[in-house]
Parts: sequence; C-alpha cells; structure tokens
Amino acid sequence: MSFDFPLILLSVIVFTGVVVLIDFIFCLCNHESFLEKKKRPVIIEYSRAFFPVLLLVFCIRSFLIQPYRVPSGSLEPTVIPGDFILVNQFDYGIRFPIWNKKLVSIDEPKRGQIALLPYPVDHAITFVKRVIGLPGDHISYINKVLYINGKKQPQKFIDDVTELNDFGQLTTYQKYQEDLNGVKHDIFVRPNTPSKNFYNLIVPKNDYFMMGDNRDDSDDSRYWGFVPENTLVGHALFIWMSWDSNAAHWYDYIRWNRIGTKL
Amino acid sequence: MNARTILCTLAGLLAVGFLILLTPREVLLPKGMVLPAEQTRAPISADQVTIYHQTPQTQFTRLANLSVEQGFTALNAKTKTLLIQKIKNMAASIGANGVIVTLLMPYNGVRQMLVFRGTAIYVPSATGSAN
Repeated sequence: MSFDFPLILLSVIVFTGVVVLIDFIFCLCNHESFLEKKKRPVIIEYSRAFFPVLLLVFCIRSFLIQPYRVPSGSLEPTVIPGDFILVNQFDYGIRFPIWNKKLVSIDEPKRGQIALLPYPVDHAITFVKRVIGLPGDHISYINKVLYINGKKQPQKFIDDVTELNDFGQLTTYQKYQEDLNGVKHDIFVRPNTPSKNFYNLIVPKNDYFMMGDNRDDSDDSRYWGFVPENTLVGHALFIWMSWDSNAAHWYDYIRWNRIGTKL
Repeated sequence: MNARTILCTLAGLLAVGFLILLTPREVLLPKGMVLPAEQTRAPISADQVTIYHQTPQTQFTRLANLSVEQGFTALNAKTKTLLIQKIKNMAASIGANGVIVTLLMPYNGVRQMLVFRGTAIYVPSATGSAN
C-alpha cells in the first residue's frame, strides 16, 4: 500500500476538527467559555492545539506551495537525486487534493516548465517531468532531437559527463543545451543507446506530452502516455535544498552550490 | 475518561471513517503510448490484431513502438487480459494487425507493475491466428 500523505494529513485534521467542534457544542450547552484556559482531557487538549496548525499546513501544501524531494535522475542534469524543489501549487488552478477537483482555473502549463504529476499508472506516486508537448502539437523525435510542429529544437553540445546512474552504474552521458522554443535547458543523452524515433505524434486536446531531461533514462510520456491537464499538480520554482546521501564526508552532505537554483 | 471525551473521540473517528469511505479508490488500469513510425495506416478492429512472441517470418511493415505499464496488487489472469486488450486496442488504432512482444515482465520498482514493450506491425498476409 502506498503512503498517501495528503490523506493521512486530512484524516488527522478531520479528527481533530470534529473533536474541537463537539467540544465547542458541549461548551455552549453547559454555558462554559470555549476559550477559557483550564485543564482538559488529553484528546481535547491536543486537538485544540493541533487543529489550527495542521489546517494551516494543509492549506499551504494544497493551495500555495509544497516541497518535493526528487528521488530519481530522470530530470538530470537539471534536477538531480536528492534535490528538494519548491512547487507552485496554484498556477495550474486551485484544486482540492485527494479528490483532485479543480476549484479555480488560473493558468495553463507552459512548454519547458518542470511540472509535478501523479504517475498515471498509480496516482499515489508523484513524478516530476518537463512539459514538452502542448494540446494540438505535432511531436517528432528523430536521432534524439525533438521536432515540435515541424520545427527542430536545436541542441548545442556542452560536454561528456560520467556519473552514477539510478542503478549505481557508471554511465557516460553527452550533455547538450536544448532550446525548446526559447526555453534553454540542459539534457543528457547516452551516445551508445539507440534512438527510439517517432514521427508526428499528435497531442490530444487537454493533454500534455512530458519528458525527462535525461532522455535515455527517463520513464515518461513515451512509455505511459499523455497527461491530462486536470491531473497536473503544479510547476517547480527552485531548488531549496540539495542532499547528497553518498557524500564521503558529513560536511559535503549539503550541495550548497545547488540551493536557490531557479527551475 | 468522561462522556465528553468519549463522545468527541467517537465523533472524530466516525468522521475519519466517512472521509476514508468517500475517498476515491484508484482502479489500476493499463496506461501506454503508441509512438508512430513514419508510415501509418487507417484504424482496424482490435479483433484483427495478432500477438507475436517472436518476429514473424513473413514480410511486415513496422508501424509504431508500443509501451504499456500496468500497476497491480496481485498478478492474475484479469491483469494480463486487461493488458493484452489495451495492447490490441492501441495497435488497432494505427492500423497494425500484429504486435511483436519485445518485453513483458513484472517489475518491482516504485510499485509492482507489469511492463510491456513491443512493436506494432502490419503483416499483409496475416490470417488472424494468434501465436
């Protein structure tokens, strides 16, 4: 069973909220002051203390911003495992979590943004990918180069990079800078892996085509399909913390140079 | 524990119970993608699609790469049937009357999944017999 943090948080809020409400009704019936400071049973005392705090946390996480820890290297080199990113939760519309119902529409996903989405195969898992194709776009991927609506998205070679992949194997990547209709960002390609070309893929209405920047090591729309607009959670703003759990020394655990990187 | 505490606790637990009852249950359906090759064809019926576990010895045209991923809690016949039907529907949507299975295996990564990778093909001489 997957760990569903929003549901656990909401359950605790509902429990504490109902306890406070019933206690308030008791106070009214017995002509007691609800705000009077006095010793109360533990459950009521703790509910009174935690309910407003948890409600505030829930509202901020659900409707404003939430932190997200990146577990895999599918968006390397832009975002690496151990990066903690801050996610704008309202730009794609304010929606109620768990039921995922949109309450207010604000803006639409833009090409090149790094967006959070529930893994289409299991919504309890969150993925982070880049928005590549917008509704109605025609996407081709030929020899590891993207073509959007017939226009080649130019790439500029930067460097060869050797590093550990998600499975702990040393892998050599070619690092390129891709210009995605004006959004410049780095990508990784593996020179020895065959290109999985495709031609003229049409993005359906209200759907988005998502890819990782680590083009040959990313489980993305190429494998599980388009992402409906109403499931996109929000877009990444910046890296607020980066933790290297494989660092040799304790003082190297925090990657200071990555903190504050705008995404 | 007085009556007030018991009542507050019971009401709270009841509310949480209702919340869990009202929480939508996710149905684990197969999700996939058809990545078209240069040549495509008009859609056909899914019943006309044959699954090949080995590359057919006859001449064929490659129409697309197919990928499907399906989460499961217990790998049973229903899971496999759903997956195969999804593959056939996807292939039929681009006019492919055959699918060569490249990979079909359970995977224990972020969750338990059945992973399929294959190639959608058009076999001019296909008779419709399943391998």
